[in-house]
Amino acid sequence: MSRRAFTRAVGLGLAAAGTAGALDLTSVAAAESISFANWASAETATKANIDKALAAFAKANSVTINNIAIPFDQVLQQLTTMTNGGNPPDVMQLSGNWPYALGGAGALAPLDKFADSVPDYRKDAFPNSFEVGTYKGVLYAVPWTITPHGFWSAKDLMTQAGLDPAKPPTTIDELNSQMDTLRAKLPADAYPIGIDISKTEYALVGFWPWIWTFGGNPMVDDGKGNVTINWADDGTVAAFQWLQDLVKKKLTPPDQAIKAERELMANGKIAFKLDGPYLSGIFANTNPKLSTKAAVNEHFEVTTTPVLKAGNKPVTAADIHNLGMSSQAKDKDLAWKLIRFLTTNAEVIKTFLIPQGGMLPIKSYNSNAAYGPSYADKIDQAFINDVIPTMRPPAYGPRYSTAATFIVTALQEIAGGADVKSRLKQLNDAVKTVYSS
Amino acid sequence: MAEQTTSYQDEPATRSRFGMPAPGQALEGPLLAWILLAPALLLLIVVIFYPVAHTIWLSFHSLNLSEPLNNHWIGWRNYKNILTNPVFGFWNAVRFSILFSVAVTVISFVIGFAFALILNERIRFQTLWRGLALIPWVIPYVVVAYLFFYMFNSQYGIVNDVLTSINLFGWRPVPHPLGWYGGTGTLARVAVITAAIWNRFPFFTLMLLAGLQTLPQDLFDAAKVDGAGAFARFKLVTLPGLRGIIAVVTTLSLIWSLNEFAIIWAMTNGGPGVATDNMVIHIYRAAFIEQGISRAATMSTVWLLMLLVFTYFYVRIMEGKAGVE
Repeated sequence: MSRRAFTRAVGLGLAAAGTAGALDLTSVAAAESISFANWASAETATKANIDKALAAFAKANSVTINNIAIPFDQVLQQLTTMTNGGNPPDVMQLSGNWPYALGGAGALAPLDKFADSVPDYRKDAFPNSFEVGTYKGVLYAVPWTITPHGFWSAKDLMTQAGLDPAKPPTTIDELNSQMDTLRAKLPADAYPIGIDISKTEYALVGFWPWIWTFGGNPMVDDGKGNVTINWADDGTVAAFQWLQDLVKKKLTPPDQAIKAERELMANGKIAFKLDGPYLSGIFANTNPKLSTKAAVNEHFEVTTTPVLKAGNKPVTAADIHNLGMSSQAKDKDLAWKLIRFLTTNAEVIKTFLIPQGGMLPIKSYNSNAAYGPSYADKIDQAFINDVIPTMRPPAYGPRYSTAATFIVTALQEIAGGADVKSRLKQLNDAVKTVYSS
Repeated sequence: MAEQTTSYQDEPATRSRFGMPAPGQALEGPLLAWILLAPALLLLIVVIFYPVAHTIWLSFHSLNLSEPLNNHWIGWRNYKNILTNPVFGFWNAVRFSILFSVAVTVISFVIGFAFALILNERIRFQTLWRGLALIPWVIPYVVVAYLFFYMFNSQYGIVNDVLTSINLFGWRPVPHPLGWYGGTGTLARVAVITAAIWNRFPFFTLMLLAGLQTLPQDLFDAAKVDGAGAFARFKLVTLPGLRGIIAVVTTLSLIWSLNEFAIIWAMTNGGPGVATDNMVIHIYRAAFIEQGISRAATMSTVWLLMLLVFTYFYVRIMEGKAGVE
């Protein structure tokens, strides 16, 4: 190769690269766009409806939407990676600890100014629905759908076991007694209760209500991000001992995750379960006999988590889906516009939020003339009037997700027979290490 | 050749004092070699050396993606933590990685060797059987994982169906379904190792069968004449003849198994507890679920060093084999 030929080749390459760069700049400047990361687009049951909602926003605002579908169990990881890579989505669907993890890391924009600009926005909301998006007094995520776990009971299995389906257990003693009866009367492949014992952070969402019910308070946040840790308190020990006994007595499947347990419940293999209001829709997709809300109401009942002693207040984890805005969003007003559209637009509510099964974030919408009829059935009313008021946020924070992996590891080992007290003491040391490192 | 030498000797007269050819002259010698190698070297630096160097650099920092702004130099603290504090589960992951790799390699080797010996015999439909034996190897890891995940499922898996249906004159060894992914984790270990063995043994079959076909028939005939039985021929002719191949395939299998991810992750997530937590899953979880990038980088660095030591012995074995040949 001659030097001239080499120089010519390099020159041509540079020219081509320059042209490509110029073209790229042109295309970026062509249209205003907004990106929205969510798991609704990654799930078959909700994809078509969220696509319709986003198309309506794009049309109404003459923008293009980059819809980023992320499977639920990868959302935090993907959002963290995208944010640290300088390419975060403008708006994101969040859940559980994620607003805290991302807000604490500076990935989310404070929304107080936007939320306060809407009259009565915070007032017309379910209790604690804004609190689970607030970290150290700053609002990082607003509620989108309200989906706490209620206590579901399968009337058919209760009847089969000779129990009164209209009287699901209200205390732990009643629950234990009814589970023993169910175990004695049901076939071996059916279980009295489903507890998620998978190695996922979400398994902890399902177990927090039981820990609190037994009087445990292993992690308490003072509202300023300071967390008091004691995984060896009496209530927590009692809750984990109860879990171990459930597995030993074959009252719960020993190794199933929440998705499998939902399928089992839909097919008459699990009698009791803590789960969200969207379970109706999951039942409909799983079992053709439960394809309508009326059918679900005929076969299932929802109440609050049983309490340890009569007179105690029932409790459940404030598990909601919320919406956050990236701190790097270029057009924050447009991002807020999308958030408002997703929470208040009639088409979005009718085509996505109501079919999805969660309660609407604006409390009064759940009972108004337009949407109220969709929530008039007994199960939804139980969620609105009984379950949602018992919501309590766990001690979410930037270190919570790390701690959660240690906690669910201990949960699995205790369910598998590990000594409860010594394992929880070990867990306590691990969680304290996580928060002190 | 003579012309070329003459031309080469003439060239220095036309070069600049920096070794660059004059305009119109061809690029040759070391300069041309560097220019041609540059893209590949650049690629190596960007794709391999930089990530490794950056990982080592990160291991001396405190980067956690939940608090990315709080990243600073902390020296050897991460190394001290993971090597001495059981909370971080490093040695548990090392132990399971070794158990998994040895079990998968040894059992796959035995099964694969047995199949290779059978398929080396003149049997009907030999080509068909050889093709079928390869099927588990060509199925993607994730598909294998989900296949076995459902087979071992405690509620609706075929393994429990078969086990609970065994009835030997009224004696039922497994009266109730087993919770394969629960309990102390022993059954989960069996499940993931079984899946990996099923996926791996055809590799041994293929390689050992190829080796068997290169062994000279004369040796077997001579051994027969000397009165050697089938076992003696296997021990004295087959095994020594395949020693080189066995060293290569078992070493490769050990390395692959030490880095296994898809099968274990899809079947158990490393659970129950930490029963099936191997090093790769442990590092993945630390980095992308617990967001402890620096801790994961530290474990990666230590694991890399361990694998390098292992690879060193692998190369020594290979060099030894080359020397013999």
